[in-house]
Amino acid sequence: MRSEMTQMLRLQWQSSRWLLLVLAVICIGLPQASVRLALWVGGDDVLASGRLLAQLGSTSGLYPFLAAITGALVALTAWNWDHRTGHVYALSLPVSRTQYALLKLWAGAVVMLVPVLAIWAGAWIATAMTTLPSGLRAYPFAFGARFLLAALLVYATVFALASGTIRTTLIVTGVFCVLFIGGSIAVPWIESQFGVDLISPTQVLGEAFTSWPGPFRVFGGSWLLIDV
Amino acid sequence: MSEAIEVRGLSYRAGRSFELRDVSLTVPRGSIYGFLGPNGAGKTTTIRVLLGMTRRDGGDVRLLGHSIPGELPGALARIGYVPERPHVYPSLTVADALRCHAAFHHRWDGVWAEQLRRQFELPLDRRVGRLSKGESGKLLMLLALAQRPELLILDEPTDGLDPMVRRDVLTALLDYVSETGATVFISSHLVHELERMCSWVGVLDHGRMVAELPIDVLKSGIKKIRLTDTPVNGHHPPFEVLSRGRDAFETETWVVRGWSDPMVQYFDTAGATVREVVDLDLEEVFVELLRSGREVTS
Repeated sequence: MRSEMTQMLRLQWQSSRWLLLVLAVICIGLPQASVRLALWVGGDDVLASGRLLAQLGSTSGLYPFLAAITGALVALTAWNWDHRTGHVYALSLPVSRTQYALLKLWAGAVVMLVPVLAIWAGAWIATAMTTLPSGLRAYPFAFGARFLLAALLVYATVFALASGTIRTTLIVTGVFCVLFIGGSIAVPWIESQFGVDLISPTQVLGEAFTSWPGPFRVFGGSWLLIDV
Repeated sequence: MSEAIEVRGLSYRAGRSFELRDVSLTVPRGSIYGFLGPNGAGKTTTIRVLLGMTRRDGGDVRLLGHSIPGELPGALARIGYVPERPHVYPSLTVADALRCHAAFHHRWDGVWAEQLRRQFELPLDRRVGRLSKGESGKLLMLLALAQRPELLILDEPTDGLDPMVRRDVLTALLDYVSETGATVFISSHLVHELERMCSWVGVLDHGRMVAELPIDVLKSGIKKIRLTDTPVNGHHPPFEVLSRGRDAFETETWVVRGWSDPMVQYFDTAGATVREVVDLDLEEVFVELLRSGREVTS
């Protein structure tokens, strides 16, 4: 099993190394850029007045977006070569489909550590080079851990979606779209026409996913590298 | 010991236009089994179903005694597969492809793989996607052979290859088979190529098996009979008539299956004289089998 794991890791690296390099550059640069920008926009009194937090908050939305992009792209590259060859090579290997998928899942998660380590390093360098006002603290490790969690979540979701055929993926995505779009249009219309109070499936699903203990809760709240 | 491949009542449907109907075949261990059929007959689909790549609708499949798809990984560890089109990731180099295949196949023979690579003149640093068609065919055969399989399933492995490459690939295959006694299941529409190497032949047409016989029985049992006159109808022949008609010289000609020399008496009693009994080569047999199968179907 060890040789298969090593080989799968090698394949994953080969299929996504340029993407990982680009992501790593962005991940290492973004925390530094956002801290520098906050210092620059805030002017001379930014450290004294504590306006640093407000300035950092204006760019904090980029981190969950970057985590989602990282997870999604790594998941797509995990299956890319298999899709291109019609999965024939994978299906001819003497491992079960579950085992193959788990090997791929593992390899993708491992290579995703590259951008995660980059964001952690970027956050650490950015905060280490800044003198923080009293009362504020830097959280580079927690920030990196949150990024990892968010990226892994999207990675696992997209990985599962992309593992099937294009038809399966379209069906699953289509069902979700119908549920969300249909729910958000049909429910208000029925409510206004018939004067009834319905439970919107869009709202229920949205809340289930994004509020605690929903899995996508990690994307909510503030993504501040520096906080009180 | 079980057969290398046992298929019973296999059925599969893809849309409205194509289906495999009640396909049954038996590939004896140690045989070289030619799986013949015209383009679109369903050879590749049958192979994909055998290997568990496509889910069948019905029937039983056993490969080397393993029930498919339940025991697929165990079976695939003992099977070398060459698909119709290259399946190795095109971005890998030849060296990467060999390394990758070796990691998953525990019976991989690295020394022999290197020997074959040199013999096939495959450059290690060349990307698989940039290999020529001939090189690609050689690489696929190399990968299948170096895992030292007990059964080779080859889907038109020489299709589109030039004669030199074809000879290299088939020589390597036959050397391996003579050394190990491995079973080969090879699909092709290049009938002459199979005629020289196969011990068994199965013919598939429009998704159903038309014939399955040892090749010598197939060839010796199917004859073209040229007659002086047209036999009188009403006599039931002791052989199967695959086709009958008149050739370019207006001679009554029958193609029959299950022929033996004493059967010439049938024509004597039917008022005709046998002018000539002609042996058919495999390609002619193949064409006649397809023709008669289609007449029965229609």
